[in-house]
Amino acid sequence: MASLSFVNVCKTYKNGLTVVKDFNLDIKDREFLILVGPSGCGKSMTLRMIAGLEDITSGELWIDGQLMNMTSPQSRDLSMVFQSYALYPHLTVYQNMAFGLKVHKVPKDEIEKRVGRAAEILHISHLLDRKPSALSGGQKQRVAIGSVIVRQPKAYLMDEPLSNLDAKLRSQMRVELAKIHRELGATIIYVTHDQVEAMTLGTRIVVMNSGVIQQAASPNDIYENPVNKFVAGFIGSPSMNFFPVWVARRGEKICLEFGKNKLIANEICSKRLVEDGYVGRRVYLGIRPEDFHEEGPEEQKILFDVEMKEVLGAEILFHGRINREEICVRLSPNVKAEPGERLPVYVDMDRIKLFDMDTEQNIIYV
Amino acid sequence: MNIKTFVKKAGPYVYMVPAMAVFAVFLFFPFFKTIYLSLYKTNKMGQAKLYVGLLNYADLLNSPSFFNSLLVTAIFVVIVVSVSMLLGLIAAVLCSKTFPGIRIFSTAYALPMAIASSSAAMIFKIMLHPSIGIVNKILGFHINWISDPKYALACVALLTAWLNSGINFLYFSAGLSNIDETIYERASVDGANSIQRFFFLTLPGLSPIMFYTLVVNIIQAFQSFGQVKVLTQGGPGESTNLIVYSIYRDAFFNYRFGSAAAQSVLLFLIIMILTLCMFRLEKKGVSY
Amino acid sequence: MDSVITTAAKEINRDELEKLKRSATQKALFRRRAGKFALVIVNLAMSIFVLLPLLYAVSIAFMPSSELFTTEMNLIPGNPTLENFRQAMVKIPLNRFIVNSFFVAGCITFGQILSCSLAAFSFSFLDFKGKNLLFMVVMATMMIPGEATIISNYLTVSGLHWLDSYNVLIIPYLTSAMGIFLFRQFYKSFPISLYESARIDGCSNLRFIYSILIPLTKSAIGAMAVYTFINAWNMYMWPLLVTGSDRMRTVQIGIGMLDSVDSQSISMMIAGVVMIIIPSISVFIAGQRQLIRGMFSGAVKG
Repeated sequence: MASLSFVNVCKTYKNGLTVVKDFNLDIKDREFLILVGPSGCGKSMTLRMIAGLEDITSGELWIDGQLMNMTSPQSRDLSMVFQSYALYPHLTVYQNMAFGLKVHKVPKDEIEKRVGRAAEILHISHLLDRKPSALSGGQKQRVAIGSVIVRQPKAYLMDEPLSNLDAKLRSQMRVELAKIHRELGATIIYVTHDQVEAMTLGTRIVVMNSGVIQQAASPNDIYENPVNKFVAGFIGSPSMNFFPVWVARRGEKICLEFGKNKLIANEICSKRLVEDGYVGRRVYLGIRPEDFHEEGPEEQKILFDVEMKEVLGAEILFHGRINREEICVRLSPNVKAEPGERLPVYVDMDRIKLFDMDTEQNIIYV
Repeated sequence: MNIKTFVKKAGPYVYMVPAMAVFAVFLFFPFFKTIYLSLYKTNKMGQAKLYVGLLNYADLLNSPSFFNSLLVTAIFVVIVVSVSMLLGLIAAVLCSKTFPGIRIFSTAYALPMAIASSSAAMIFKIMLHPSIGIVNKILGFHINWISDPKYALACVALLTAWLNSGINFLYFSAGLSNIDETIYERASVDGANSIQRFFFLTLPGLSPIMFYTLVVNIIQAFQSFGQVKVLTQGGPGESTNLIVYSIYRDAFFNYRFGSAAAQSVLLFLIIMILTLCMFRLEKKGVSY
Repeated sequence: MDSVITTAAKEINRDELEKLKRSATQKALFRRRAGKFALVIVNLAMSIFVLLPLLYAVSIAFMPSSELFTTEMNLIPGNPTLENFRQAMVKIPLNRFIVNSFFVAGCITFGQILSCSLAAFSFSFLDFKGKNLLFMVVMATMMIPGEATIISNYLTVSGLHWLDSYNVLIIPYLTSAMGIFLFRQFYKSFPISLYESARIDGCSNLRFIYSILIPLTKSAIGAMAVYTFINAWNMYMWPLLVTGSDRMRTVQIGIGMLDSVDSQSISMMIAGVVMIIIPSISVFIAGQRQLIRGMFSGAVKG
């Protein structure tokens, strides 16, 4: 297993398009690192640069203390799961899983042992003689993962391995992947656009946008303390609500005003807003759907028009509008309200986020 | 049945008429007529005169000349098919990665398919000319390629292989582009070098198109005629007397239409059996 | 991996690291470029090898016959001349042959496209009794080598007194099983609802073929046209048997009249060969992409 480190890595195409910009990151041994972001953010490119399938335009890639920029893929001792699985169509499942070992000249009985064990972990022992064309999507995906875990490379790379599966299989495989990570004690670098996968699997998440790292932190940190509006909006489902609000001084208190709604900021927020000179300016107020409550003090109340409700059983999602801004609120199932009604909710002021209008940076980032 | 429903019922067949009429007159009818002729002795006009049953066949099977032409054809087919497929495969592999000028090169490799066997034979005739031919000049030999029974067959076969290599290049190129690019990426991350990738992925990946190409090549090689006619006329001796040329000579020089017809039927049977055998084998052999 | 740069290097000063990195990069880039260069060189050698007969033919065609008859290496004509071409045109009515070949190949190409697309239309969009049987019969004909029928065909056409006419050159080749197969394969990729909705809109079968099917299958038609034209142009055995006069000879047979190995006529014969190769090669180069796209887009896959 290995540690990786990126120093100022850039990827620019011949036509001048830059897809990865100034990428700096240290990946520790045994880390389950998630690269997440919307499509086209450069996350897959980053993974392919680690694998050696794409050239690094500038910067340095170190694997276990060795500069790898120009090393060919086959000499990097890595292992990769592709989004399309990339199974060898003419080989059986067993041969597919044994391929990487065979080219590394692992003795036959050792191959047999390792493939057998991997097949057991992934519950595909009964499929070993089949050709990939005779497998279902979920089975193919297991074989792809199996072909990777039979080896003990420096790191496992996974490029959206679950994106072609249906929702149920996906959540099942998530659990298994987490288990495999624990058992193998491996360094895994995992690319996904799905923030649920990112939150549940990763020991650390790197959020990327337009080729730039936005934030690299633990799942909890990313959720609780997003560095900017992009990260705040990208992580969390349903995503955070954003409202442009005025920061106003009302007597002793600092108020966040939008339309007829007036929220009184807590001490920490007030202090930061005053110190950084936001009073009298507009900022983005960010509230996660679960940070609304049915009851609370009057100064935390806002009113919105319910347009739709989704009953999910353990909770209800209310979608609606507040001064033309869309809002999504997650409440307990005993709240009775129907589309067309005006519903009062109370904001948990200790959990709100505030973002600068221009830079979109988190004003109260700690 | 009124006219309207008749038109409706007959409609589908009407579209078949042009194709089927041609097939009927110039393929089915002559095919059966050939079988019929093969059972008769004919006159110089090709009219069946005397029913002789399988005598024409019996004569052929007792004739050393016919066995010679079968043997010659077999050697010829083996050389043509193996060389032309190898040429096509090498060219296709050379053109499988992009590089500057690839379009020009791939046109060059495919070009022989546009050339007539007779024209090509004329060019080869000069190339193989014992005193002024470029082959002897480059190799520094003084061999009379075409009139030496040792070399004549190989010359005709290599010429045919060259002609057929063009379309084989296209087949193999298509086969190569059908192989999923990501399996190469996965193999290289898995640690396979380019030689391993070629033998573990490229060759097996080509096997379906390889099989198809093999069948087409064999059938095509059996039918070679123009090059023999122009280059060697079956000679020297009977060393290049391929079966199709032998049919031509028997029918249109010796006016033995019955015997020629019998040879045609045997040629058909050989091709049919070979094709069926190969399809049998394919079901077992070819991966995926 | 000849130049390993390890973390130890991280501690040494930045400048030295940069230098190391640059040299490693350059080495790798050089290796890659050398690989590409080698590929081009190998391709160049291979393509010269493949094209050698053609290049040699072109070179001889421009060579005065005095230059040809030497035991020296004579790859490139010293005094290029058009004399050989002129003489070839004088000695045989090459113009007439070329016109014949163009006419015959053109008719065959047009006829095959028409008859094959009509039959394939019926096979893929219409329902009728015996459809599958008929299709199997058509496919089975691909196994009958032309030579197995050529004798009877010759007897048939001579019985019809068609020998030495355009009819005999064209009519037997007005359809082909491969063409029917190619078009049907193409039509199969269209959903049947395409046909049904056209019918509901009041479109007749012929109109459907003309205004929907043909525009949609341009690439198949292109491939078919190139392939058929080249094959018809290069036809040898049949025209050899059925044409006797200069009036009807096609190029491949006509050029044989120049075929004799006496000193004067070799370069003239090759000049003639070059002239008749040019049309088929031009058609091929012009239609190569069409040919590949049409033949291999699902039509021919193992």
